Amino acid sequence: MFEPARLPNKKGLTTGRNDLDSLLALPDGLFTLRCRSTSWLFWMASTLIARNTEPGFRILYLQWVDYHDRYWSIDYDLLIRLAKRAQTDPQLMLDNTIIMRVFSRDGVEEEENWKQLFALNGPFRFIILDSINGLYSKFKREVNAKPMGYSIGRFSQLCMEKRCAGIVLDDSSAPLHPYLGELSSVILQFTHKGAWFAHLQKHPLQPEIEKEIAFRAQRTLARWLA
Amino acid sequence: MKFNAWLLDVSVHGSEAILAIKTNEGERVEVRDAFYPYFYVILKGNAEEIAWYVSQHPHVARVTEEQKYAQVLRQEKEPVLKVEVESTRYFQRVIIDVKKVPGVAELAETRMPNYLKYCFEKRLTFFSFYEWECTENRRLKRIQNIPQTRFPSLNTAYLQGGETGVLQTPHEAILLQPEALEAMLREKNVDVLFTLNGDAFLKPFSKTHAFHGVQLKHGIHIDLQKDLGIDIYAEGEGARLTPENVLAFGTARLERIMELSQTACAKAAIVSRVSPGRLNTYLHMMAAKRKDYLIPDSKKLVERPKTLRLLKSLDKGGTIFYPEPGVYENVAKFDFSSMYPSIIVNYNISPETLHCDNASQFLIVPEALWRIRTDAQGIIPQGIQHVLEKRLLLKKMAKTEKDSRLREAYTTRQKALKNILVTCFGYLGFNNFVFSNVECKECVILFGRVILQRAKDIAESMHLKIVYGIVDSLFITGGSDAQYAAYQKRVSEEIGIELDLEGIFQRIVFPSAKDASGTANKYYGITRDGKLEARGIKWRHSDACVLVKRFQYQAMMHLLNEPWETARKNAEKLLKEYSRTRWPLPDYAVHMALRKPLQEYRANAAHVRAAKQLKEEALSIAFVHTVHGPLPLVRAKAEEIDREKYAYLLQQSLEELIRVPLAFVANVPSVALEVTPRNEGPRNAGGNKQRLYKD
Repeated sequence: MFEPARLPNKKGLTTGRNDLDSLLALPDGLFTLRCRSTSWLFWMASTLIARNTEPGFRILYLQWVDYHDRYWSIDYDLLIRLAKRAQTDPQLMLDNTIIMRVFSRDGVEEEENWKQLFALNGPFRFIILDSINGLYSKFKREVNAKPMGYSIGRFSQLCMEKRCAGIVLDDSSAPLHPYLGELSSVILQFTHKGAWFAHLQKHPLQPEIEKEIAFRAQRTLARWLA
Repeated sequence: MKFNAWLLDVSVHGSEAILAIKTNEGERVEVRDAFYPYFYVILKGNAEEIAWYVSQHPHVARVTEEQKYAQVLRQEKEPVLKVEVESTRYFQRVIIDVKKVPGVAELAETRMPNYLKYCFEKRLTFFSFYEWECTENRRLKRIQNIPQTRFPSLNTAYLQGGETGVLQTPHEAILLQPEALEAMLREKNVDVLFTLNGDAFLKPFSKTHAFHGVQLKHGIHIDLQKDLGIDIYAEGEGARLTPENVLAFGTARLERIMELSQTACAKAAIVSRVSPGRLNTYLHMMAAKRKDYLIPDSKKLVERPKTLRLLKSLDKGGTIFYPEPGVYENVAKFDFSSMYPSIIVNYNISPETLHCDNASQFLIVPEALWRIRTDAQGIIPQGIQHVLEKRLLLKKMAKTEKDSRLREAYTTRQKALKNILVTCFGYLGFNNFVFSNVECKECVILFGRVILQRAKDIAESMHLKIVYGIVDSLFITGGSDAQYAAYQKRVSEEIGIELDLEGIFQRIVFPSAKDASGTANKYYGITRDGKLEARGIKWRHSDACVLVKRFQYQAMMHLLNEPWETARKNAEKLLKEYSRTRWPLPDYAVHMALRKPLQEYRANAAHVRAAKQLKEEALSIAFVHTVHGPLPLVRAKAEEIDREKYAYLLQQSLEELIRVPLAFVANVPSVALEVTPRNEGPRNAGGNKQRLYKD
């Protein structure tokens, strides 16, 4: 059963890895994570959910996906595996994480849907938006970028109202939307050039930096230990 | 004047609808009727004020207030404005202007085709028979339906493309320029014009080329290539189509087109160009309008927020009872007839009936515990029920009809309706469908799971054994023919969905996966009447080469008709023979479609590597494996064939047939089959020889 906590939690987000945590290193704000690989981004989102589940706090996961590309794409087994590895109670994670899926731009822009979100009871640990461009990437040539800007603004408003961090996932190759760039406290770009690199493009307390994020290849034994 | 005639086509131009009809005497006539294209305005301000304001627009003919369900999820009707525009020419202009009027919340039915609105207003369906009453100058006064079970017989012609085309009718061939086409069609009284790729070659000459291809003022244009492309049951039919038999081929397909046109209320020219999902849209638009719902311009409502726990429990596919790998005899295959459409109808699943917590009559969705109201039929069930009932009726008529021509026509028509039924479930969750709702789709799956489980329980209570089950099919053994019939009857009655006995397998084999576990959708068997049925093996794969398919077929004939041990030995002998023989080059060819430009392929698969060697990009590639790598068939030489590779493919294709734990085969002494991989070894193993089963 979900029970709301009494005091707001201002602990920073953790991924379980010091190298990544040092780049995020903020208790609040809007975090934009960019990577061409949707599976990598989903892994990041799952890790954040698994590692930051706490009793008394909810996590809101907005999945804005193209129906053809990613319907039925939530990997529950991965989520549970990561939770066990993080020594988080998987049942707690399943109960405290709320998901809302939207498959069309019209759904994103509809006020009724935002009202549903704003009416949700917290407190919230953080809100993930996966992904900001998932429903817009086919309209790259559209001159009027207002809908995406509107959605970014509404999402930011939702995070402010719920007094929690917001995490925006962006898997497009297009330049970052300027409004999102403006609103984001932290912008982290992941690229794979033989190894994984994280490029910290914006942070209020750190200079721009690029560093390698070392990942061991998953071994069968490690996987089955979870 | 009064006369009887078939309705062939409707189009709306300006401020009138033009109906193309065909009399009993075969005369093609145009009847006109006044019609203002319209749309609806959903209000957030005062209706009277807004109505007055909108009516001042110079191109608005009339504004009337009506009571409608403005949104799909609204339980109460509310006042909306019907805005009739004086001509199709000003339709878009009026929409843009009305959107700016203060107090207008949104518009509805701006994207619904005008001909559809007209057909709804007049209760018309295509290829139906009516009694017409018109003025002397053919303006419609009254129309009365006369029910018929058959369709009209239509005059057809085939236009061959090119700078000077040839118009072929059943009696003559005429040379003509494309500009003269319409006049010639009128002169020859042609109702349906067939082309091959006509949407492309007629486009420069047509003023009426639209999203749905080239439309004709006189006659219905069917581009047969497109029609075959969107027919999900037309696999292989395209190979029978040649320029010489286009007329006969096209005429045979007309029954299908007319049936879909009549049922979905879509123009015949559109039916042959749109997906079956789009036909669902038209079908449900009509159902919604009949229930006084406005058709929204876009789908905006999303599923409710759910916990991960609830989503995980709902986010499932159909039930699968995995088979124990083995060889079985006397296995009956049962299939629920149109299971998901029947569930939608039986359980009244529709966006506006779901989550009706205040409904007086409701049922509970298993696992999700949502409520579905049952005191009023939903939009989706109403649309689907009509199709289900019609299909059932056509099937019955086909069974009892003595005239073979009519029997074939009824069979073609009921198969055509299957296009709509098999897509209605997927479309229910598709975001481009204005009435879609993912939770409705989840409901259908949840009910389906319960139904299959119940069918399994009934079988076990009757001491029958379930060998395999997937979504809506069950393979059952351990009974006599009478027991199977009794089971069929009991399940159909108890569940309320017809369970068909598709056939009884004399022998059926369920091979295992490489890890010896049972695998879904992989079997091959022979029915009592000698029909071979298979799933998931190379013989069924469109990208397997002819050689492999032929070999597998022959191997299956041994495995399904002979004692197992003998059959395996014969299959192994056949393998050696196939590996030794030098076959004609085309037998080694693998045919694959190229679904995107070559540079967009990320993986460098064999067919992509072969396609890159062609001078021009193509839609498909036929290639062979050679010692130099994959080469297009046109460039390969027989002596360069990579025989080791094909020997390996043949070996793999045998392995997938005989990978059966021998303990599950009755009366068979255990024998091991050693499989030798290619020189470099299998990709995901250690590269050593693999012994599948120990002695």
